Amino acid sequence: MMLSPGDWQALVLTLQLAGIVTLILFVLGTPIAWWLARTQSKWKAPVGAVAALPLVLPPSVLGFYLLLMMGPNGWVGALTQWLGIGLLPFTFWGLVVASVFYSLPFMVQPLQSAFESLGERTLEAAATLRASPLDRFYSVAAPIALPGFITAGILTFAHTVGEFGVVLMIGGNIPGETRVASVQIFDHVEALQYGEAHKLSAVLLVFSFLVLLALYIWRPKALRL
Amino acid sequence: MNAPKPNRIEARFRVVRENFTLEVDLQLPDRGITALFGPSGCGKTTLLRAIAGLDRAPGGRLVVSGEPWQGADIFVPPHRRALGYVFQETSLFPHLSVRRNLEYGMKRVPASERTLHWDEVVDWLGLAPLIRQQPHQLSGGQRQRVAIGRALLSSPRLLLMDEPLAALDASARAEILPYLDQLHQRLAIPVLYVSHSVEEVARLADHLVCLEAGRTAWQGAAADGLARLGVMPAHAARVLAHEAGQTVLEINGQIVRVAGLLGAPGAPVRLRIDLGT
Repeated sequence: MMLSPGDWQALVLTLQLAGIVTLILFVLGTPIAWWLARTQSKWKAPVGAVAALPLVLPPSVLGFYLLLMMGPNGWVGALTQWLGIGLLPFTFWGLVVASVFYSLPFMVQPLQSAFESLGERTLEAAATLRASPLDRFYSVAAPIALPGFITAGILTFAHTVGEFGVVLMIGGNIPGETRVASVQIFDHVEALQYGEAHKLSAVLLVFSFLVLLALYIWRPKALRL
Repeated sequence: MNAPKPNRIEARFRVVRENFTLEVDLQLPDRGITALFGPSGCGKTTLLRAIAGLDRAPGGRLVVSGEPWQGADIFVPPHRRALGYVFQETSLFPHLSVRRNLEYGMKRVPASERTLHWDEVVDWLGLAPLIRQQPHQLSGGQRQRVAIGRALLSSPRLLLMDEPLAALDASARAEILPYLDQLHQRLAIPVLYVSHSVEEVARLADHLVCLEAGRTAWQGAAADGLARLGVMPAHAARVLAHEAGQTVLEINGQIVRVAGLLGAPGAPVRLRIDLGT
């Protein structure tokens, strides 16, 4: 099956986006999930709800507000302009920022449940064996929660590959910059190029199936979101 | 208040919980086994956790062998306290082998500060056959022995044991008690042993603190305390020889002969006298 250069470009861009977003979310999502799993603060419920919001919010709503925030009159836009970065909407990095918000729950929820099932006793035992809080995280919590990290990484990556609405609101449709695979398929359909749309759709379908198949074979309980 | 004595453990805590208040001011000897004894819910575990620093007890005061662990403006976090803690239920790290579990605390103490050595601890607790196993392959009693070994290898200056036998069945308890006896004889550091079992207290304790509803009801030498409870203490004895079907024991310089052949000559044993009432 031959893909056109434009399709290849869209696919590569999609994988780059998903890879970068997953790495950023490992760094941002881990402390959020840790805090949500262990805190007894009254802020736990509101913060947890905000972190889960992208699960239920229409992507266009999320994209709309991010567009306003990152635009020339938004505070993020003002900040990026002041820093000399320029405006984020309609750039690759604008997509990255939007996708980080959009995919946040897919990182936080599996990690949070992995951390919650750790049990206080194991960490307390480590504390009485001279391990500092950070040491306890790296030597005890992270290795025991490793399946949670793998699940979270795979789900975040796959979910970012599949995003469409947010991309359209924030990134538009710039080849090589913001035109990801899902948008490319939309374009093909709009132009009545059903054959082209078929090929790229099939690639994404097979990719998604293989990712989920791997996850289910490896750990049948992994997809409890 | 008296001036702090360097060879004592001073613990003064007030912890308010929903259903009871722990309020104690203890001066404990810094050698031998001190049993914290009392019914469930009397505050034994709460006290032990406060001593370990696992739960914060604001306003408390704790000095161990002259070293302040908690005071008006000090709170040493648990990982900076030279203590060992053995939990009631299993607390081994499931992702590490027995060897790596045992090494966990040891590796975090500089070699120059280690007081107990690998071979000694492995030998006392009979851990050699278990070293290569994973925690899930061990029986409950074996797990607790590994947990005790792991705590000791971190060279604690105070060993805290929270009902280490309570979650075990009778046969596992019987298997592990001789090891605890063994520790009692060889260990130079103080042990605080939480228990609600008279049998364990009679067998192991030198000093006894009875807690009732969060307060100290009685404290003193274990033998006196047990007599008050109507339990005869076990006497530490040593087998001298076997003669004509009898075992010759030495207890505090006295010679006692008992029927049957018990232990090898030189072995430590414990003798309890039942009044047969």
